[in-house]
Amino acid sequence: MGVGVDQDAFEWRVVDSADSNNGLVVVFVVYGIVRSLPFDILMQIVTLIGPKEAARMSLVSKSWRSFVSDNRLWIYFLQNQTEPWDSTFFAETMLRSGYPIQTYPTHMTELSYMHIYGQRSQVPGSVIIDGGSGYCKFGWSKYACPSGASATFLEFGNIESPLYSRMRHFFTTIYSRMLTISLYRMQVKPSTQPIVVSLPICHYDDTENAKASRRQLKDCIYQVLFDINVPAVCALNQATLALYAARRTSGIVVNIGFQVTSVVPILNGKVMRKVGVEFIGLGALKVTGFLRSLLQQNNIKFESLYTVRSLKEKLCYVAADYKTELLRNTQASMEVTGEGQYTLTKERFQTGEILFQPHMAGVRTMGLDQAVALCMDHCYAAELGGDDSWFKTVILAGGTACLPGLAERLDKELHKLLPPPISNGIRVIPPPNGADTAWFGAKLISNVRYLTAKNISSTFPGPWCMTKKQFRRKTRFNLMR
Amino acid sequence: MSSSIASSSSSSSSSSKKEKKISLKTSDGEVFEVEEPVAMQLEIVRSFFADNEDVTEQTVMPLPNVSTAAMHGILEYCRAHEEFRRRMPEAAPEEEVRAFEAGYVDRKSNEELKEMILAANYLNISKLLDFLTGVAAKRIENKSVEYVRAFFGVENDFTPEEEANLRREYEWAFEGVDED
Repeated sequence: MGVGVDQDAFEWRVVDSADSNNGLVVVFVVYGIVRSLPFDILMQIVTLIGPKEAARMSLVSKSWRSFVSDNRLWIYFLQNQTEPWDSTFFAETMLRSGYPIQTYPTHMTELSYMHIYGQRSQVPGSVIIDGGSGYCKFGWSKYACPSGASATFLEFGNIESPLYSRMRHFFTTIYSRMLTISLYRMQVKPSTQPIVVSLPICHYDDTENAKASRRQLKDCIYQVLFDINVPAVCALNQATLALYAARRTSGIVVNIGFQVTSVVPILNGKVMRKVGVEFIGLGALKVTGFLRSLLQQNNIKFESLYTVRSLKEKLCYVAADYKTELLRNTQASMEVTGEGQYTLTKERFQTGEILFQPHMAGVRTMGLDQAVALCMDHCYAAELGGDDSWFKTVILAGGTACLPGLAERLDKELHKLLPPPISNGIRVIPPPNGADTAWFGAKLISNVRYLTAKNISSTFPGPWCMTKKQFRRKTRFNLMR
Repeated sequence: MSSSIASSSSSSSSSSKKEKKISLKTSDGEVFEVEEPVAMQLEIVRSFFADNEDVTEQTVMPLPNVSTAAMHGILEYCRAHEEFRRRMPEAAPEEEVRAFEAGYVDRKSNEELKEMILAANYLNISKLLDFLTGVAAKRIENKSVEYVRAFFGVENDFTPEEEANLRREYEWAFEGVDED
């Protein structure tokens, strides 16, 4: 390819010359400049002018077109986007064709990254609202991270129940909050952008009853969003979004929610309800509450639960081995603004320990390690799909799952609990994007331009979405039944 | 190599008036007498003297791919940088360097710029090459395809239909283009 540029610029021509005695003279004809710049220098210049300019350069000539469309150049441009390259690559190869997810990814060699870049740059941005049970993260898909968060439960109550008025209040409040954030140069109006919204992980039993509840909740969300004129809605559950954020389509997601921790097996983007979703009635609230009671027992004073939360986020961790950790000196301190200096010792790792030993906090339930082991056991027994390693990747999600050492400890406990055929090859991954993991998963989905949406650039990704029209048709159909 | 550097540095310190010079001959036969530290910025010259032990001060190094005009430009740049380095060996005075570079490149036509890029590439002066490609990129920024063709001297080998199709295909890239 590199040589091609030079060859096109030069040409040997045999010309008849009247004044020459030899009759024939070889003339070195060069187009334009005296010598053409070599390929690698042109490439260096094109790299510097940026993607949009580079794409225009394909119109210069045929040889330019071929070198400008070099995948390496476009991978470089894609790498310089707000999204990490690995995530872009994952989204383009795995999520592009929508749901259900292809078992075999699109091959990299088949993709023109210039084409992908062009498509991604034309994707209309979408609003992403991850209504986590503790905190709701919201923002604009083209930005690097969520723009804000609201304490869901404290402000709106339980948004996991299909109550129209509460749900409507929730979404309109979040939309108005997004409007007030000055960061948005563009107007965030419900009617102009599609939305990617997360569904809470609840009602995941494999019963007709749970299925009905799930549908009711989903329909309620659709109803509210279409009533406030959102053009298209993509609703996916938090566990799947967290899995995508970890650039995977299969695995077990452990989501430590506000009140409940759920262990969700997912195969090719589909929640394996038949295998079984495990729940532990122990979430972030209990963990923070336990730290509070430890502080009270030790006569450490604090003004609010926010102080306790800061201490949990900054000082707490999970011990690799609880008993040996008790013998070590683990003292550490931090400054909480407005409250003063705090020094913790054993509390630092006792707090997170209740995830593994719930009885310490007086909770009668199984530990996190047992729940995951149980889930893996079920996955193993279910013998789904060709390879039995899909469930060996464990992805942690939720704010509390960010406790340092949690992934390593869970990994260690799982190896203790499970027989070698199951435990070999287990990998526990800490939350890929911290507390905002599900939000980032949604971002991946919203920035892929889908094949079927080729001609509809004003609306949104086809395969992942429901439009107002589709929803109306579906509800009418359901009523008729 | 190491001995030659050592001797040259000692000789220059003992007689600061008479600096060691290196002779470089351009494609059109002109011989340039260049101060050693300046000439050593040219990677091709440096390796020539490093690899050939039998070369002496009298050796004239031929540079068949560099025109006299380009050589003038290149030496101007290298001398200025050597000057900066001599004054402040630790860190180059950023602002001064930038002011010099801006003034330096403003005087160059597109044609001269390309000549110099080729020469810098051949002489292997990575710093200058990076700088010049950056300048070239700036000059074609936000320009039309026709302008870029003229800039690089490339003939359009697309048929009008092909070009129109491509323009449609890359529609996303054709927003906000300057007039030439």
